[in-house]
Amino acid sequence: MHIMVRLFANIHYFVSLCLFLIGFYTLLSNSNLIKKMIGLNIMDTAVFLFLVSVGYIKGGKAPIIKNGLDVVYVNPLPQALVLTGIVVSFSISVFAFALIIKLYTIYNSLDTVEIMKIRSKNDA
Amino acid sequence: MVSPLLIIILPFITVIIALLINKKRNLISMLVLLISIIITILVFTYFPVIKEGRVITSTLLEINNILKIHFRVDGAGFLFAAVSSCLWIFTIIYSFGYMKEYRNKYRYYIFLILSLGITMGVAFAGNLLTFYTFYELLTLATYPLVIHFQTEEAMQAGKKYLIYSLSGAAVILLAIMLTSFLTEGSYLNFTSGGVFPSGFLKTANIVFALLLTGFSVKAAVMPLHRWLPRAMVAPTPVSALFHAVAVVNSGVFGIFRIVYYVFGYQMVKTLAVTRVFLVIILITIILASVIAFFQDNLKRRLAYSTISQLGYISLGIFLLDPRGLAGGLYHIFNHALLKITLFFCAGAIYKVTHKRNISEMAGIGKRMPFTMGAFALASLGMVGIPPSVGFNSKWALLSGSFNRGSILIMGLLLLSAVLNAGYFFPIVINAFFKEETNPNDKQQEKNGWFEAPLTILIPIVILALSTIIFGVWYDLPVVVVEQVLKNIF
Amino acid sequence: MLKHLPVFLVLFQLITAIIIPLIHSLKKQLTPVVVLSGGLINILLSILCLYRALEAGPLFYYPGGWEAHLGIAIILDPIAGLMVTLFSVIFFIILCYIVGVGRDESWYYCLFFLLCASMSGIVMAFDIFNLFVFMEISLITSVALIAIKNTASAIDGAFKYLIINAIGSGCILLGIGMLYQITGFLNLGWIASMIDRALILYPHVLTGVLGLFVVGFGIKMAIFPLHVWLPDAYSAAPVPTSALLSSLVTKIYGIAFFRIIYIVFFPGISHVVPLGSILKIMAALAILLGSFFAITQVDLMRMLAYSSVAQIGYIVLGFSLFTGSGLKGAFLHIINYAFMKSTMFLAAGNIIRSTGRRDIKNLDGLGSKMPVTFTAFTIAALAMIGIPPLNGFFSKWYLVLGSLEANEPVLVVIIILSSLLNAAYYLPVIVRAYFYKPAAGEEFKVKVVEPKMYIPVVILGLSCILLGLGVNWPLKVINRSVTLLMGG
Repeated sequence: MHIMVRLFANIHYFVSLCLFLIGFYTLLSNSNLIKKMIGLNIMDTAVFLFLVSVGYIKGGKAPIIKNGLDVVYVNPLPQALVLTGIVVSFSISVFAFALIIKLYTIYNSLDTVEIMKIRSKNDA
Repeated sequence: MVSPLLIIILPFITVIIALLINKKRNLISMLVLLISIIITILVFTYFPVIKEGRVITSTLLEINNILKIHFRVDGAGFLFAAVSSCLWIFTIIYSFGYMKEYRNKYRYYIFLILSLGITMGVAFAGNLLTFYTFYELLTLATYPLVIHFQTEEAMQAGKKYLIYSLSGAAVILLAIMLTSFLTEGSYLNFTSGGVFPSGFLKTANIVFALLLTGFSVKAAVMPLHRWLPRAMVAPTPVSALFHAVAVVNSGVFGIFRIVYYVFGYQMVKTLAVTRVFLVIILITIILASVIAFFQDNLKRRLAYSTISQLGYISLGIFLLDPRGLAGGLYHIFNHALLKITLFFCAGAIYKVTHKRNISEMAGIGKRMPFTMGAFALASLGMVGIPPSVGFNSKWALLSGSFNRGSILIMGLLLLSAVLNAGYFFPIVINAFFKEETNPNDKQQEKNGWFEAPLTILIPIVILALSTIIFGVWYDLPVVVVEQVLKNIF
Repeated sequence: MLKHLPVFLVLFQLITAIIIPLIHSLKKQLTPVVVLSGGLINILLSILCLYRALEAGPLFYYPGGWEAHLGIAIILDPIAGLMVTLFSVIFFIILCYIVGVGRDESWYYCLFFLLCASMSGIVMAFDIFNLFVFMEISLITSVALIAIKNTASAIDGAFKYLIINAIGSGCILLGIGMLYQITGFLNLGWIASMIDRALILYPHVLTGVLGLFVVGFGIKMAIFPLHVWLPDAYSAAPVPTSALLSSLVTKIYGIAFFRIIYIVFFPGISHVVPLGSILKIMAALAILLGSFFAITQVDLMRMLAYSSVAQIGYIVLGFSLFTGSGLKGAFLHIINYAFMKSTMFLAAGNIIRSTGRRDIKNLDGLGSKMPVTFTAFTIAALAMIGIPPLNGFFSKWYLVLGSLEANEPVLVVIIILSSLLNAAYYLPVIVRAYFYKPAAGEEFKVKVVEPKMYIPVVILGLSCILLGLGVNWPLKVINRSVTLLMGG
């Protein structure tokens, strides 16, 4: 019971961990390049969820100082990190998709297993 | 008197010059001869100093607190350097005739002179790491000479040579690192009496065993000798110079340095490894002689004889007795002189008749009297019969083992002498007193002498005569070795 | 002015990166001039950085004037100075090589300078998130540098590189988040001040962080079981790219990783996780198996790539010994290795360029055809094997001393054994090239190697000798770095 309570209190950590593992699994288990990228994005999203939830305070306001009032702010730093992280993850995805397009034009396939086959045939 | 550095670096400069005058490749052999004569003269300028018993040390460059290039010119180093550089001259002259028809002469001479410099480095190295550096370089510099003919067999032999030597060197390096760790990064300069810290008996045993194993590769102590007979595919001058003199002696010399200058003989006496190694050496001496007995290929028989004779030198070192050590050091000198003569003879026979096997050489003495005469003289020395030079060292070894009180070693030495006689005299008898069994038609037509060209014959005759001359007048090694002994004991 | 040096360096590299394509589109002939002068100025700035770092000790710089716990911190210590200098020197020589080869692609140079900027950023970052961002920049630029070759295998290798390294980045980011959660800081110094409390309160979280870091950085460093992306990428990439990536980039991730370990976790972490032993085992496996894989390769470039796997093992080993000599060995090996490996890659590049052959078996008799290139290759290979007085010997020496200090004699045997294994795959190449005759009908059509292509190789090869004889000079800087890491 105690564990359940603690789990519920930290549900965002639990969810982000699950998402991370789901993403990782997708990345590893799928041979389709696009699905691999989806897995990678899920992984990144999980990390962002985790980062944002680290800085969240219940009832906290956006950290903008108004009229010098003393209110509880959420920690802005993780949000800044997440923003940067999203940019990074976006650029990696774009780049990867560009490479995937290249691969597709070369091999006419998106499946890693097939690409491997074609490659080994070409080598031989 | 010059800095040892000059002697070592001169060949390297020569190589650079040789690369620059690339166009006149024919000059290289003369250049190499000239340089080796200069080096020999330079080495002999040390003689007066050595005679006084002084030791010259010089630090060239302290690279860091590990590696200091440090040189030490003492009696033993001088002996090794003098013998090697003199024999280098003869080898180069011999090569003029021998290598005439072969390809890649340019490469041959370049590496020949390069290894002279490196051998001088081994002789004059003043601490363990400098020694190791030159020792390792010697492997690399002699490799192209071993595989000179580039046949499949030669490449295989070369591979074996590299594997054995590099592994041996790696073991040595391991031991040096351990020693340096124990002494907290001291330079391990060779000092008589040793630098190894006392008090680590167990570690000392391990380090000593590692070092001995490493040096045993080049010293061809059984069972690490197997590269040596294989390496006989090299051109004969190379086999003569490296597998009877320079390379194998660098291994023995390494053993000498570690026993007397790194550990100190007092400490070596207490180590358990010493006894084990002594037994291995004795087995090597006898077993190699026995194997030599059954070899039909002349060069291979000489190779196994070398293994056995190197055992004598190591034995002399390990008797840990002044007389014994003197015997060992004399034997460096004697064996080099004798064995190079024998190899040169084998080469001359091959050059003229293309015969490699002893069974085919019946009656050859009548055709090549000078060559086989020289062979006979050198064989006398190998067995140790008095007027020849070989007697001195064997006598010293015998008296050394007598001092040690070991009847067994004395007995084995005598047995080995008998075995030596057993595998050398048949060759001589076969050559002089048997009829030619398988006469080659062409040769029969000539029906007379067919000696090798003069550039081959002259070195052989001079060396053979010098085995007798030095047998009578043995002052030079005696004076030098006396100083070594005085320094150590 | 000098105060802003670290940031100025990175900015200079970024600006050069952007300027090059511009100039290229305006006036083509000027590109090499701009590239080379950019490289030279880069060296000068880096040396200035090193000098500052040595003179004034570790310097902190806060961009925008925000103090440590709020803003980003950039550090200029001897480690950063040394690495920046090393990188800029190798970088410049490789640039010369590219110019010599005559690659007419301004984007290639642009990406090179971007990579250079990200590397400088990584070594000078004192804030882990900042570090992460620079690592991502370097990831993207290195992938682009591989993919720019635009052959099937290059794209393949690049994609593999990208996707596996992206997993690594994800792990590192998660680790950073967790570390932030339990300590509340991103600045390494501040994290370090909180770590003792965190070790007591959240040992499991810290274990998780370490695990994520080891996996993430392990992928980026290509330490043994995580090296799978490396051989494909390096063997397919353009030669200058592989030279730079192999000789330095992976090592700089190692520096970043171990700086975090040494500043933040060491030595308190050893009570929670046996980090040292894990890393040591990984390193030992990398050294042995990397060499074994290299022996079995037939392709010259793949052999060099697997040899990098083994060599990374040495560096990780040196760092994970946690002893002074081990650290010295690791730093020295990073420096020496950069020169040795770039020599070999560029020499291999020359070989492939002028003969069109990649198989080791097909290189018989090449030594006399391309004497200069092969001499440089031989020197580097002998240095790699550890023949004194070449530079590779000294780093191995310190690694062995470090292992003995850490009371790990097994590692000593492994190091010695691996130098024999190095000999086992490098010497055959040399022997074949010099002493084998090409098989009948396999005569070579060797394109002439121009001096501007082999001069960079020769310079690198010579520096292997010089760094061996003059090992004192890098050691002086390294000693400062070591005291910094060990004393902190």
